[in-house]
Amino acid sequence: MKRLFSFTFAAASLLLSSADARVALAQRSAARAEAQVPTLTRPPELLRFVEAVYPPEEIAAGRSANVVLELTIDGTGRVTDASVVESAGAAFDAAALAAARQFEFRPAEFDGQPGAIRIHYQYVFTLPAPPEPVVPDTAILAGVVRDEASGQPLAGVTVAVASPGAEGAAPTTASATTDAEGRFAVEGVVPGRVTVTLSGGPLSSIQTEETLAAGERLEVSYDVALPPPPEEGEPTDDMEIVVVAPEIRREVVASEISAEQATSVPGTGGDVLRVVESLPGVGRPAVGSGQLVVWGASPEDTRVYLDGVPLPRLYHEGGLRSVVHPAFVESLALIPGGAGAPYGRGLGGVVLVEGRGPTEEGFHGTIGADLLDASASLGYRRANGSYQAAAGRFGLLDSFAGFLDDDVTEFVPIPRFWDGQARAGFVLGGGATIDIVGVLGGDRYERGVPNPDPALATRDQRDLDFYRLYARYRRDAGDGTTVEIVPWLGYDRSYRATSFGDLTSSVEARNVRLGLRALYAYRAADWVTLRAGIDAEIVLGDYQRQGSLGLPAREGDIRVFGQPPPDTLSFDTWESQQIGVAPWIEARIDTWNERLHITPGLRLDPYARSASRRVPVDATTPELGTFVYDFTVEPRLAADLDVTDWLSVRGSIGRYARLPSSDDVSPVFGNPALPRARGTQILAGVAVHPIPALEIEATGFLTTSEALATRTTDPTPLQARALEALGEGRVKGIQGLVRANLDHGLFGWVAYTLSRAERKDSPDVDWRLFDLDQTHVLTAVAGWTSEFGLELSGRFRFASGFPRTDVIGAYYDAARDRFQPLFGEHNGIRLKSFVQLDLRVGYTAEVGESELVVYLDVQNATNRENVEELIYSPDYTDRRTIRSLPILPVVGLQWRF
Amino acid sequence: MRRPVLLLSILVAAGCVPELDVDESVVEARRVLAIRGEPPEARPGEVVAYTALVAEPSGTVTSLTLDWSYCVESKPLAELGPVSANCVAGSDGAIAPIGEGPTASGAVPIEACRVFGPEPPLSEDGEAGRPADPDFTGGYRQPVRAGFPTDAGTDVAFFEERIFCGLAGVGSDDAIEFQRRYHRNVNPEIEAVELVREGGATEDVAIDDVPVLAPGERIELIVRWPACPIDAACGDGVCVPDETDTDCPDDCAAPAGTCPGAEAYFYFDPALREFEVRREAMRVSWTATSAGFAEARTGVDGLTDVNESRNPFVAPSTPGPLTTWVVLRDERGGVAFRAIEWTVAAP
Repeated sequence: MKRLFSFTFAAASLLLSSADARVALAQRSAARAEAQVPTLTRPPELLRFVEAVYPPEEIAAGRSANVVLELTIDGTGRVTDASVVESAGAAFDAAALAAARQFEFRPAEFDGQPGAIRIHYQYVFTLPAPPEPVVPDTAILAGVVRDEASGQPLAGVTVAVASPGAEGAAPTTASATTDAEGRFAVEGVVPGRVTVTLSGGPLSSIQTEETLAAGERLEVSYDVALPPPPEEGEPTDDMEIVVVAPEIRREVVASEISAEQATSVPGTGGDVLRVVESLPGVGRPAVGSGQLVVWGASPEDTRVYLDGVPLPRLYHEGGLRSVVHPAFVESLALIPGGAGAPYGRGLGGVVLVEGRGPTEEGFHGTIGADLLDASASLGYRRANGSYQAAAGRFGLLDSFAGFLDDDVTEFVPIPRFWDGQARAGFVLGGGATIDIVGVLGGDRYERGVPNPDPALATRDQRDLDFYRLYARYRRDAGDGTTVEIVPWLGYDRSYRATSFGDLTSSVEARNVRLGLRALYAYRAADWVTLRAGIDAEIVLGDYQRQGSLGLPAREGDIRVFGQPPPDTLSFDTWESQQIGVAPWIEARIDTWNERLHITPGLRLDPYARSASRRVPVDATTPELGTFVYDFTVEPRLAADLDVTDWLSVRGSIGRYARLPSSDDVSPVFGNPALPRARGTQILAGVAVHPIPALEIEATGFLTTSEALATRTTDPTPLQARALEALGEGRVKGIQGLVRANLDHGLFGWVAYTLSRAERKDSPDVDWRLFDLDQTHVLTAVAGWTSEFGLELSGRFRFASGFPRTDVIGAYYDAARDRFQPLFGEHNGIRLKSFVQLDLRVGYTAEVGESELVVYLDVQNATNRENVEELIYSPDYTDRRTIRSLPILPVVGLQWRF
Repeated sequence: MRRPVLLLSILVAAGCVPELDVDESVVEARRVLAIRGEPPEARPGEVVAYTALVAEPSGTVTSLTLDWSYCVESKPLAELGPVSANCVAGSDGAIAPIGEGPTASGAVPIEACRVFGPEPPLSEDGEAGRPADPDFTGGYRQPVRAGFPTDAGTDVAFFEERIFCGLAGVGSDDAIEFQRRYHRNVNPEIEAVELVREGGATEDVAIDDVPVLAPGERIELIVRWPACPIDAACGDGVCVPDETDTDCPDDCAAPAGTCPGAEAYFYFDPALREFEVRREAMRVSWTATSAGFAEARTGVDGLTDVNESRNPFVAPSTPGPLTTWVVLRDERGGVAFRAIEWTVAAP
């Protein structure tokens, strides 16, 4: 507070100045008697001025005042007495006296000697000048972060606000951390449209956007779907996995679910990725198949990506476990259709698995086992976010094989599997990180049924191995500019052999895979974000196949379970090189007050394939290779409209293509000239959020495909034309989802899909049902997690039975001494519908600073006899059913530290 | 404890497969048990005599008239059965009649090696098409259709006559080598049938014998076939692949010496693209008018040098006549069979 003041004294008038004050001294009166008193030779000089406290109530009242004081100054210059001569009110008087008593003077001199003096001092209180008006140039984002499920505040969450820089200026970032009440206030935010990132604590990175005006204090409330924040000292574990659709892209339809819920779903056995089979749009797989049937597409049409790197499959052989250790799963998204331009080479859905390292500083890990497998993970995270981690898992079922009857192990396949992952992450600064990851998985599966007749002895063997090594560089500039580059290297080997008597049919494939996925996202304006990238994949493979043309069976083959394949023998060995380099671009346009979002995209997919053989091996014909090149343009368009805050509609249309299987380009067993299969996906849907805890979605879809590889129906096909690209497919249906996340740890959803998937094997035949068509698929999941560590959950599934082709008769094959079936309408009958109830109970106990988790997962709790397959008597006069698994209790134990 | 409850899941999984209570060794209705072609391997144009073994619950059917025909239509690759659906249905143009009767003789179609063999067929536009794939013995087969009346109407059975066509996709040297060293298949012979009673007593069962069994008696039946050499031994009367009419005329000069057992044969391995010598696997089918055989089929693989196959049998508990049949098949399509009449009577 600035003040002006002045004072006077009797003997003289002086002007004193200082930086903050203008002082006037005045001689109050002449010396009373020059002859009787010593002569004042030097007036006192104010050496230390103390500013009086302006009484606040007087400031508030807008009053100023002058107080005249009488000060007695001794010979040392100290004020020994002070009194009010002219009052301006008690408040002003007191303030003036308090200040004046602290003044220090050079003492007055009389005849050259210091001496005491009494002076009058006028203390002037002047109202401070009103401050210059401040034009705010920043804003404040404040609010609270809460757990959506419990409503509890989340402490320790970092709220970072990235503002795009002005033209030519660098972007700015401000942040704050939520307090115990979940509150935060980020000051100094550059106004405009900003990106808000919530991270830290129990929270994985989540982004949203806000718009702030200069000087505005925007109060927000973020309710995030997350597990409850860990208690102090509680270690991070895979229960904290956050399963969300990647924010980097908003698909028109994508299923998301929190990992906490996912691991609580019966049947998953704590394996997050197995929850995929309970999501809408996903058909029930045949038991033990591990097939992923999404919207009636062939299992090989659905692509699986880990951090953008394609994996050969999602599940281990038998479908018991996924191939990615759950400890390192950050998120999961299933896009059943209408995927954006970044994704191609498939006509079905896309499963996106985002990996991660440890989320808590220090060493943490898990050790667990159940009937199916044993697993362990260990990771270390530094304060700066860098980490190293590794995990491994191997199946245990084969360990128990020695305890079983020989006839059981001969008939029932005992899968052996393992997978592992090692990751290292580095924070490079400037919002850049790099993860270096190695992933591997393997399966061994073998069974044999001996027979006194060697011609009837059968044996199955499957070996599947895959390896991936990749680096993932990501940089988020904070202004909407994102760069992501993922170069990767992989090796796959698969060997499948089936023996019927002396005839062994086998397929062995060894593929070296190289790839690169790159993404550049740029916010071109407040209303548009541009994304461009490249998706390159090179497959260098060598293959060997021998045996029956009928093995492995293809979709559409008319046969019955257990039927021996044709006993003719072929052999082929070939090499192929496939190269696909697909640049893509898409724009996300936010318009109509950001209610309408339009995402046009374009994917250009040039593709080349060379193969070592054009025709079968023949000593009389020169060995000629083949080269196939084509170019597809795959436009995509998606749009979603927020009609109201609680109602949105969406739709998309796009073209897709799929590479022919390497197995299919054999000149003996397939066709080296097979083109890519192509398809169109159209979908439209509506989403309703009547209350935050309830989501209701419905999506209709129509997909078509053409140029599918099918067995030739020509009785005299040309050489190297065992397969022809004459197949067509069409799928139409609707899927619905009702999901609730209620208070008190209650959650659940009901997913229903009504669809009809059909195939046409050549233009001159009728449409038929797809082998894996399921008209109705209903999955209902409900669970409850208590505050005391108890989990209870259940899953109910209903699915239409798979189509099958009925056997209407048989004839005796005297050459092979067996009956051969005569078939009715292709896929003209169905298996009985599948109905199953699964239950799970789990309990988490704290043991020191660690946790012990025990759970009981009971599949088919009602022991219902579901039908998995039809089986016929040898003469085909009797038909029975192979039942699905009976009640299956699985107990698991896991220690988290 | 050997079988803990721990692996309940796997144990019960085995129980998921139903037991189909069907005894294939029991003849419950009229049916063809075997068809034999003589010779069992023929060139196109060569005449082959076909004989069917037909059984019914009362015993062997000897005077049944069968409708014999060749299938002359190849099946599309999309059809996974052994013969085309049109041939099964007897559609016009798909079959070529041979004759009617308990047996029939007919020349193998001239086009057999082009339709069912290694010679590339002509496609509709005149280009060379895809030849048929060989079976796992390297051979090709001409389907033979046999229709016969049953109580329910007409039934059909198929046989496949092995056709001698040479090899596909090999050079002239290999083709010549194959012609010299591959010896056509001959039908096997049932050298002996023996029964072993409880206690170990063994009895030969001659062709016209009618052995007596006590009700519920447990025996073991043995079928024997001649032992065939696999290694070259010039002068043993059998021409094996390592012998030719040049280096061993005693065995291989026409008519070459044959062995009606598990023969050695010359095989071209399409994977290794080289020749090897294999021995035929042998299969025995056991059928009867009453349940009793432990196995419906037994056999010996090509790696095992054994010339017999055994099968336990339990006689019916009620006295009366009983017929059993044994059918011996080699893996190249040769067939031999014998019916054995029994009397089940209290001792």
